[in-house]
Amino acid sequence: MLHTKVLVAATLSAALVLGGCAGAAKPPQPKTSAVKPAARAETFPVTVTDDLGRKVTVEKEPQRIVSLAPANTEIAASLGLMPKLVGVTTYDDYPPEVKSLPKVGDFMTPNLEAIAAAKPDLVLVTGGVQADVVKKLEGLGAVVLAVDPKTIKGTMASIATVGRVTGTTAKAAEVVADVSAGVDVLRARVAKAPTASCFVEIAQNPLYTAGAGTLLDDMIRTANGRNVVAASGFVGYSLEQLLKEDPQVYFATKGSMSDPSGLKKRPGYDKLSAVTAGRVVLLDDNLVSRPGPRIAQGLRQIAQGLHPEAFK
Amino acid sequence: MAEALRFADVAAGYGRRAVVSGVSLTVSAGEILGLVGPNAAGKTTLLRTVTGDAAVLSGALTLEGRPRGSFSSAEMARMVAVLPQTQPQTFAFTVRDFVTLGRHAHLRRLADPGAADRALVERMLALTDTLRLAEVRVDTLSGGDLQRATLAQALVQEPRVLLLDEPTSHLDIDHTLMVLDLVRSLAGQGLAVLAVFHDLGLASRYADRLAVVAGGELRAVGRPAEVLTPQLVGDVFRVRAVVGTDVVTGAVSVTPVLRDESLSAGRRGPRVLVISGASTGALLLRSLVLAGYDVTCGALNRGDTDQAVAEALGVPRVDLPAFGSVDEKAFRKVERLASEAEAIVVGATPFGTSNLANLRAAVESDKPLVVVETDEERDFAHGEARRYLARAKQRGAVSVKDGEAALQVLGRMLGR
Amino acid sequence: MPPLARTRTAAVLAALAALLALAAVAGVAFGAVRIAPGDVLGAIGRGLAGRQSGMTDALVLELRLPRVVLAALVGMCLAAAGTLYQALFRNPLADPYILGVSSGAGLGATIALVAGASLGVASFVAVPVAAFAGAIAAIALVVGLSARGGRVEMLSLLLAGVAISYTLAALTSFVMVFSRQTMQQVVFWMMGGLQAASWTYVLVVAVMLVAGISVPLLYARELDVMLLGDERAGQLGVDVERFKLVVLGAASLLVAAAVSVSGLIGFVGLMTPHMARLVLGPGHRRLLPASVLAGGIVLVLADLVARVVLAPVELPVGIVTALLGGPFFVWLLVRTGRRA
Repeated sequence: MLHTKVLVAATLSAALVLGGCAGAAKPPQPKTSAVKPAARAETFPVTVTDDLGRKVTVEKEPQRIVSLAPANTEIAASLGLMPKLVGVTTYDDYPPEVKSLPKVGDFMTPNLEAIAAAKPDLVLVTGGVQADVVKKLEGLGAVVLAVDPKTIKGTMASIATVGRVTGTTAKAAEVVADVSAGVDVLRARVAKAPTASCFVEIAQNPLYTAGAGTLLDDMIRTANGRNVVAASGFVGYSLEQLLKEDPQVYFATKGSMSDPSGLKKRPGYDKLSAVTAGRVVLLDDNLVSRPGPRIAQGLRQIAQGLHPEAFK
Repeated sequence: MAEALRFADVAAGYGRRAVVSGVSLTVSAGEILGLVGPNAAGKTTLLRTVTGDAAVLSGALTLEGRPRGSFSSAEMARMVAVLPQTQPQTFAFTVRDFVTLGRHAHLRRLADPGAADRALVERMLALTDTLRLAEVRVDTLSGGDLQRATLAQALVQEPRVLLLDEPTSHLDIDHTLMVLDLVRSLAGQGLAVLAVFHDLGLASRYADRLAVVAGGELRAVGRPAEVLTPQLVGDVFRVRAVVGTDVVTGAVSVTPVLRDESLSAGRRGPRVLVISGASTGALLLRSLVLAGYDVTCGALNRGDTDQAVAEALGVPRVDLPAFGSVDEKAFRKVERLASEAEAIVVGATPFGTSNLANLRAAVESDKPLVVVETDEERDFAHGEARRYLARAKQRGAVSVKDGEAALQVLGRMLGR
Repeated sequence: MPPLARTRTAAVLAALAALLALAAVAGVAFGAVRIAPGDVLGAIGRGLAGRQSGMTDALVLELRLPRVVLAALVGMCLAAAGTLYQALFRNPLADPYILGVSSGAGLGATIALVAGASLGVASFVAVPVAAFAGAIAAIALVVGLSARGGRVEMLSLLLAGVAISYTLAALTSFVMVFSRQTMQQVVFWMMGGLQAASWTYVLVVAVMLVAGISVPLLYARELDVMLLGDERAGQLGVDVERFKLVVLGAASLLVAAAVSVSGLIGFVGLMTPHMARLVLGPGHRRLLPASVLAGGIVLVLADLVARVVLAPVELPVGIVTALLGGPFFVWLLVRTGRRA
């Protein structure tokens, strides 16, 4: 039964990183200069540093790409690489066309045999639970690139990195510019508003939340908000502490881990300012937790939740 | 006496398999009925039929006239107590608390044992010599102490029927007698006792009647002296035994001589006549039979151990009444046995006028002779015996110092 | 009971009750948020007077107090169930968690959640009922697997318990994969925790505890006699088969109550009967109340540790009890093995 517990804990933490963000440790981020649009022609080989701090060299333009995270798939699709995607996970759902692509397992347990059968020359993995399978994937002869940013900036850098290794640098620069513009607009919109405190519910029972060092935390800060959770990473959180911190805004994610519909009826919640003031905001799990091209849309949900008056 | 327990043509066992069948038996109040028989004969199964741990497959089992099945668990525990073959305890009750558990069926739900219950517990602790252990934990007791504590537990049930399964298996001699004397005296106060015994001597000493169980059937029921015949013992236990009367207790005594199996090993050896008497030949007879000789005996008086052993072993012989003499007719018979033998062994027997004819027949037969010597005076026939022995020596008789030596000499003599 | 033992028992039970009260006070006084003792008392006073107001009052009356009371009740349920299983199987290593009963209850609850996601209010009844059915099924399976000719050997009981508990956990995981909608609740069963505490839960568990424990208390002497073995118990007047059904039913009810509101919390049912037995001996009239009180103490304190040790981060209480209970189990196993 102890094993069960460990298994479940692993499952839980994996489930928390559906968007591809786990672990408190912050891997080295590529220099933001990579975001700069590069107009030069595509040349291979190309060497980049990925989000696990590994030096990755791609000898020639990849033709068969496997993505092991929904965010990676969204990045690849935004770079026009849909025709080259030969494998995705069962969790991938955007853009809708990816649902018809071959599946190579789920997010937590990628199926190595299915991946091998897809004969990829590039595999886009994430950190956390997938960090362990990198070696095995390399054994299959594929180039493995880990995409695991913990910030909005990092997300843009990752998009650029994926662009460089796939020979789509120019397209990546466009996407990054779009994301960057979207983020800047939102940032400007809420800059004048007073900073609002908030809390994000990832799982309801036991109460799990996102703390420092997570993408959500960075998005909150970017949206001129203050996460009341100081602990780092995804952690179980004390209801008492939540009541004491009494955040102005309560974010709930509609997904597998929580059910915000009965939120008002939970013990003590009727005393939360966010609840009495009707400032419980439902976030789209897929937008706020995936470090991909739609990150600005997620940021908008958060910014709007924190500063509704700025969006009137 | 009132009937306490009755088996009427009972077949019983586990599942659908009958272990015993056709058992009809009654135990009366005030009586100890001993169950004896070889292992796996069904004795314990009969006890377990009463406790409900073995199923009655056919026939009827009644307690004081009431069918066994009509008793509730608690009624049953007030009627019948059991001393099982004990097993080590794992939970740390004190002996007093352990014994008090025997009052369970007498206590109402949630009621504590009252003064009368506690007094009864103390009395039974004293009677079973466990009072001094009252505060000792049962999981630390020796087998014997635990067995007596378990008996005390059974007795505080105030049963009218007591079932004992080898009640003395873990006990030393002192406590064996103590426990059985206690059971005897309780029977004297009207308790009906059905007890499985392994020791036939104890069984016949303490049981009023014995029931012999073998092969899942009841072979005989009756007073120990009627039931425990050499034939039945030989039959049931497959041993040759001397059945006698214990000189001290007057109870039937059973002394196993040897197992059937050893007997049948080499039955057809050379014939040897043994001249003995006054208990000097018992060991020798056993050794010769075990060694596979076809043994015969001279004339022996009834009541003599040699005669009983010869009878138990089924050795052909000439029986004389107790204190009877070897008369002419007996002498002729011994002479014929001598003539049929290939060798004759004379035990360290004293010879008087009444048995001198035995020696005479042996010496005059001219057969190879082995004589066991003794330092004690053996001629009580006014020199006649000494003369016969001297004559034997002249004719080449071999003198040996004991039965073992006799066996060796005989082996050389007959080429075995 | 002789007068001396009676006095001693009364003293031990009084001491345990006092300890439980102390643990509860500590549980209410300490938490992730520091609240002055006067404010805690004030909040309770206002709560009793029905004049509750403010955040501190809500924190004490709606979060801390029900959680501490629920921890005590769940600990009591688990300890009582452990005591009953240990008596029934004459096995000092029996415990609802080790025997797989908790897993059975967890699976039952999970199925009820998955199947009854649409039941709404009815799931409030369906979950404990399904947990009870799961607990009964699990123990029946374990006993059926380990019984040889009517005897349940210690080793085979433990092995069957482990096997069944793994199988049921796997089935629960399967159901979880099958229905991602209820994943969060399922994770909660597995880790064990008291965060969901509410006064409604307190009421439900209290009712089940009283029902589950009063019957075995009536049968306390039978439990003692059962320690001598089924056969001997029968000879001393216990209706063994009926008694087993009653006790297994009661124990499963207790486990279902605990699992329904707090998931799988291990080892409380193993440790507390032992501690109580060391002090009071094996007689159940004394043992059962004592281990129930001890179970309450253990879980209140374990939950306090889970709440404060990394505050405001919370540990699942099941991890705390496992950290305490794992070594305890090994110690028992070694000791029992040595004596056997």
